[in-house]
Amino acid sequence: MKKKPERLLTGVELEMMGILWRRGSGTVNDVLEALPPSRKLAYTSVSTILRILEQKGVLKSHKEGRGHVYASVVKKSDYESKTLRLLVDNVFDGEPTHLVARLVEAGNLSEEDLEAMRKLLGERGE
Amino acid sequence: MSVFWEFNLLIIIGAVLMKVLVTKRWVAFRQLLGLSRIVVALVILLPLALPFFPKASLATPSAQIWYAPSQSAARNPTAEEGALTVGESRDFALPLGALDWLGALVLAFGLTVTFIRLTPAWFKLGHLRRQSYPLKRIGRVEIRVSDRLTVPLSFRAFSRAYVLLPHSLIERVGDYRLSVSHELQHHRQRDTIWVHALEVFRGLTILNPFSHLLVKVMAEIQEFACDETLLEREWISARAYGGCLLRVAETARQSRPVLVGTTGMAAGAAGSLLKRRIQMMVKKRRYPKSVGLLGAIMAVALMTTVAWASRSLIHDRRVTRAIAQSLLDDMRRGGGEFPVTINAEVVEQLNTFVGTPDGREYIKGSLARMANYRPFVESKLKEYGLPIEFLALPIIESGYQNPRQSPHPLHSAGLWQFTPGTARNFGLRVDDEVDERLNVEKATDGACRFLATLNLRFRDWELATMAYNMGERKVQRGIDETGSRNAWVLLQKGFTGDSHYLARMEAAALILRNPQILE
Repeated sequence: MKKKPERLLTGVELEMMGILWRRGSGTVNDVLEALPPSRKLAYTSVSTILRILEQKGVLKSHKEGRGHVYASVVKKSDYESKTLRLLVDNVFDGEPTHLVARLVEAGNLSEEDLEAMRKLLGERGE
Repeated sequence: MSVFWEFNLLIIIGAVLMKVLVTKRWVAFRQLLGLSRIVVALVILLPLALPFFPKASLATPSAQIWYAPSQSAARNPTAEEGALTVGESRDFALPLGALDWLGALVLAFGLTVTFIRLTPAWFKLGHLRRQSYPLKRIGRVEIRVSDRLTVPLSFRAFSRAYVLLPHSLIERVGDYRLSVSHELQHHRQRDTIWVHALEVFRGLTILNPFSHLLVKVMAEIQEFACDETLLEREWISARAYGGCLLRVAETARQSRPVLVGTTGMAAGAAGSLLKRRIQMMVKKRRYPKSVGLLGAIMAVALMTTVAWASRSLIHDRRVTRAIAQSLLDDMRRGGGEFPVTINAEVVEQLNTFVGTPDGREYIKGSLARMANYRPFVESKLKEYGLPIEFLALPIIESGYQNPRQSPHPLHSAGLWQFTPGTARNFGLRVDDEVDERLNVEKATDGACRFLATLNLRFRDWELATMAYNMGERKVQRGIDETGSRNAWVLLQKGFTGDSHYLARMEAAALILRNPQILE
């Protein structure tokens, strides 16, 4: 497969990925069932989106019975990192501290959050 | 320069005609689409084809056989005798000769602008395509989805056809199906091919505002025809389809302009056109089933274009009746014996030969070739007591061209364009091995005896000339039925072979005696 420049997933794609990350794997029908009742997506739409995700290399599929079972190839945490990296690269001039500073400024970070982060860094740092 | 002007006039006529038709809705848009393409093709092809028309009409039908460009390779530079040589075969003039350097400059400018406009669009399209994901193939068309696109579009690159859909459409199944149908219909209508042709056309005629109008109207017709076809499908309702169009238009309004070289729903979404499209969907219209009206419109369009186009055949110089009369007087003073009549037909033929570049070229070429044969033919004419003006007969029969090869067994041949039967009557051998009609001496001798025989019978050189063309029997029947021995009366009453033959012969005879009129 040709190498494509790194791009983020679209909104619907993330919605599908969210379900599959939670479930581990699933068929089109599994995904449909997992959607909230208010979200009306057609079978073909979901199937199409999953196929595109497979082409994007974030899902893989194998045939089972009449349908395909899709499983994520990319871990949720990996995708989160990638998203953050792209965000930092594109918006915060490649400096993660700028991102943290902005989060603090925006008041979205509580003391507990910061403590948890320190802990996380400490674990990784050793 | 004249071709250049007519070309632009044709564009104006075509653009206005199309604009009227698309507004009035006299015919179904699908038919209009075909019609508009014919008009564009005519506008482009007629000026290019013009130089090839007049030649055919200047020569008699039999002479045309030797006049066809395909024959030029087989044409013989030397006659069988060797003593008599034939002049060069003539070249075809291209209309480019009529364009001066300014016209060429405008063309170059237009093509450059087109190139500059199209190249980035092509790169961008290629990029968009590579960044998209294939969904499926329908026939030869590949449907792809792109994250970066906001409106659907279709295009064709060489033999490959694509429909690119925005990612957001996948969620809306109804709009997705309608959009795919719409884009596929554009491919089916070959709009995606024509869009390239029209861009080049627009470039070639860049300074003519009407060519932009024509291209714009054609784009409109494409959209209308597309809508019309889709709405005939049972599963597509005007309401759903119109709604889909509106949603696409709304998205298109917020996004960048549609790329050059593509067609798509958004292309037809600009303000007033969208409104008209929706109106069209709401107000359904029944068209007459017969194609009569369409036929009539096409005929009018064709005749208009041809009428304009044929102006270039006519008359950068005009020979009046008075001038024709003075030519005849000169001829008489020079001892001419052929009883030339000055009437409207002869003047008209004189104008065709003298008044148009193609006519002059034909006559000059014939006269140049005649120079090689003249002493011999003249001596033969004298020997049989024929007017010297009959030197002009091979001009209108063959243009003084004598091929090496025998033609089709039933066709006429040689300088004098004898039919096989007549040739045999006058003692020429025509069979699989030998065709003496191509032997200039024998053919000339035969032709002179034929003309002398005809004159013995009719005692009138004009009648004899007519009989040479259409046969003695028909001339005799004309005389019997009309009671007149005036060749022009017979012609008027419909006793004709080639109805311009006599006039052409007399016009050529006048020019033969006064070649200075060609200068």
